[in-house]
Amino acid sequence: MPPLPDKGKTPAATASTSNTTPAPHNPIAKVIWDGSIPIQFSWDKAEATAVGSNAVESFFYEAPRCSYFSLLTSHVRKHFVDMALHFIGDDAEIWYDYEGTPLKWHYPIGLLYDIHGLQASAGRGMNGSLLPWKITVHFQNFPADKLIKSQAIDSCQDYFMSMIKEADYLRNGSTKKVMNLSKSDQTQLWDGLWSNNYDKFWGINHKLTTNDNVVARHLPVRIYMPENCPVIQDLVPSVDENNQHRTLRQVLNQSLPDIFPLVETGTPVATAMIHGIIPSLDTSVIWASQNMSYPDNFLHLVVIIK
Amino acid sequence: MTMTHQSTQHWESDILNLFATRDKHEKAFTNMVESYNGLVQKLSFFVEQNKLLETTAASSKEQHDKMARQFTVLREQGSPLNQKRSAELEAQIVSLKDERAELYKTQGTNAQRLLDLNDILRAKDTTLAHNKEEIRRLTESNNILAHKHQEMVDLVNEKNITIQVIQDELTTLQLEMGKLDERQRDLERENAQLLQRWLKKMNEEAERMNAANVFLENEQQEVSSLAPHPQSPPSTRSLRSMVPESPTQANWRGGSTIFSIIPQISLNRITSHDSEVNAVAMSNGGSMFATGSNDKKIKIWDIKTGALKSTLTGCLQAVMCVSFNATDELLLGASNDNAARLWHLGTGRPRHTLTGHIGKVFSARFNPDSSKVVSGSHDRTIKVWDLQKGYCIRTMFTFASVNDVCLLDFDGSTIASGHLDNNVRFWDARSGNCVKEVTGIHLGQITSVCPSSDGTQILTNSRDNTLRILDVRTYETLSVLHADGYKNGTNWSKACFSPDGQYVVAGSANGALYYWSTRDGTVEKTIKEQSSPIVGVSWSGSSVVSAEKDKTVVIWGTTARRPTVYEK
Repeated sequence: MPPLPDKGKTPAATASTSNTTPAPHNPIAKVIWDGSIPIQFSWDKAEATAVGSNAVESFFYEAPRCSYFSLLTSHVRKHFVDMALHFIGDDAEIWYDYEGTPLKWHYPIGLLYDIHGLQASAGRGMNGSLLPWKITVHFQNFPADKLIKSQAIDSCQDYFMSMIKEADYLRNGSTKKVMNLSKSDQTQLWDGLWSNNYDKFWGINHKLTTNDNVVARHLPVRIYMPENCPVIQDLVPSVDENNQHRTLRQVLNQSLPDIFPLVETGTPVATAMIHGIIPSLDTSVIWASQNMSYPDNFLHLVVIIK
Repeated sequence: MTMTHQSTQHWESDILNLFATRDKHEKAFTNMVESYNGLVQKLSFFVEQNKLLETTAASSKEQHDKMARQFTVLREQGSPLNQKRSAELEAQIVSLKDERAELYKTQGTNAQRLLDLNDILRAKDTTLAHNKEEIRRLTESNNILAHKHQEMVDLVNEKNITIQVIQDELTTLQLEMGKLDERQRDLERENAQLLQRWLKKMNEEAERMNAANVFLENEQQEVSSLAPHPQSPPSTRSLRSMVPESPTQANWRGGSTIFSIIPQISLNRITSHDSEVNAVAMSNGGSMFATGSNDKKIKIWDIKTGALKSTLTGCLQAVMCVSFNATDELLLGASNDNAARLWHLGTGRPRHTLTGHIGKVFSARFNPDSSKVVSGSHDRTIKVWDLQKGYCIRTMFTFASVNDVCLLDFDGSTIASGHLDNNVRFWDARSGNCVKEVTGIHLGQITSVCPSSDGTQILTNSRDNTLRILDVRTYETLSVLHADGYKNGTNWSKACFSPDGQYVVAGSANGALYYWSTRDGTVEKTIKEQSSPIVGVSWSGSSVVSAEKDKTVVIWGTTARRPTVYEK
């Protein structure tokens, strides 16, 4: 890892003084940030019929992979309100599902697509393009048993910030870095995400991800299994007993030894997908964590069973 | 480390490749979504616009509807102001209707009242008309009464005046009567003396008469042998003339039984008047004569001396006829001023003015006792006047202008008149009827009628230059008198009998006098002393007076040969 320029000494000052703090050049992060998915929002037919607008056109939107559905709600709602004329909806009541499965609004969109789209289709042995991703929108009957209520933007921000803090804690054993951020820096972090401004976001975020050559204690990694299996989050040390950087295979093997053996004996049973790609399992976890994390600074690994 | 770095690089590039692959796949729809979003934006813009437009349209429509409603409302009811006004007007209408109903009621009562009043008015009108009629009647009668009253007042005044006059006259007359009474007493005394003396004388006379009778008879026998026609017995006449008596029918005209001798000697010649002379008349006593002239005067002349005795004035126009009464005390003059006047010769004062004719009075005569006057006029009437009463007692309508009238008997009951229509008429003065109309005897108008002294004959003079003698009992012509050279000169030229009826005298237009004998109708004598037409002759006693137009009057007399009786 090339030493990064030390700017963390006065992160608050730099962050607070300028919103345009240039983000360090990182093509991977840039590509990840720019990733997006075309989504087709369709109003739930039953609801539309009930309201009386049975022929409402779908809404196409290219959503950034790093974003959240909560941040799209206003656009979606505006569209349908425009289309359905008489409809009066409430942002708090909106929820989304894909093929009958309610989508968790606190997951990044890219992650949700990987889980419900790619992972599920791979699991069902389906081929062909899922795009544009067909999402059904609901304005009523919020499934409180399946989703966390109050998916408003403020809740989403809180959840996001708590994820940042959790990741910071896992890495450094404390949340000092996050807590040391000024209020404006925290706001800029979220605003950058919301407004899809790479420089704005990464200008702050790189302060959190830079370890100053101190090896992180643990890495914030979550592993998602298909079929609604609980999310796997183990303590993932950044180095092994040999003080060697651990690979993805080692990490997966630690949590799922059956599926990811350390040595491949035949055709691999499963692969791990990050941001819609399947990287080599030999990739360093620390690197991956540093370069391929989502904006919440977690490395979400979606296991795809072949 | 290097290794690690290289591997890191390797991973990095691998992962970037993977990402490129993923992006190639996942961003395949980017353009489409962008254009979609653009379209959606446009759409939403259009929708917005549309909505806006719809809203605008809706609002416009609404506004339009509102306007239309308002317009309808306005059209139906007018503007709010008008509505208010119409409401007010409706209220007004209601109130006016009420008022009108009230007025109708009032009108009904008024109509009733009007009817009542009309009835009353009609009644009043009737009363008024009645009253008017009465007023008119009363006014009329009032006028009549006022008129009558005025007349009465006038009459009373007149009568008062008359009374005054009469009283004056009465006083005068009483005075006069007193005088006359005195005179009468004197006269009676004198008369008694005279009668006494006269009786004594008469006795002497009778004796002398008897003695003379023998002589007279002898003489008569001589005369009879000379003239075969004996006159009426002179003894009778003589006796009659001897007998003292009051004037009777036989001799009222003053007629004389004495033989008349034609007076052919001009005794006197008088230039009488200032203007043409129209009439001449001798008194019955023969002592004087009167002339009437165009100078409106009547003059009385003495026969013997030819002296002017008096001049009577009073006429307003020319005098056409003069006439004495039987006693020669009064003179009557007829004038062209439609009146006849009476003068008392003793005093020379006018006694009466007889007015009533409406034409020229051509002739006026006394009756014998001088109680009445008969006048004839060109107004085709003859009037009889009572001198006692002083007014006309009879008017006879003669149908022709009267040129001359005369009385045929003593009491004046028979009147003869000569007319412009060539006829002679006889009248009964008592009844006023025409007794006889003698026509066809003359061819010219009658200028004079003159009775004979015995009243049996009448002489007519005419403009046909002849004279006729008519018998008044048979109305036959006894004789026609005419002469060569005789020409009647004027319409009022008077001819007359001699007092004994033996002769007739008339004046010609050339101034000559013609005497005819009544016995054989021959011209007895013609004398000419004057040159202008003779307007009248009068014969009384032995004198004839002839008046010519040119103012000259000639008095004719006889020679001294007279009957001895009168010579005395």
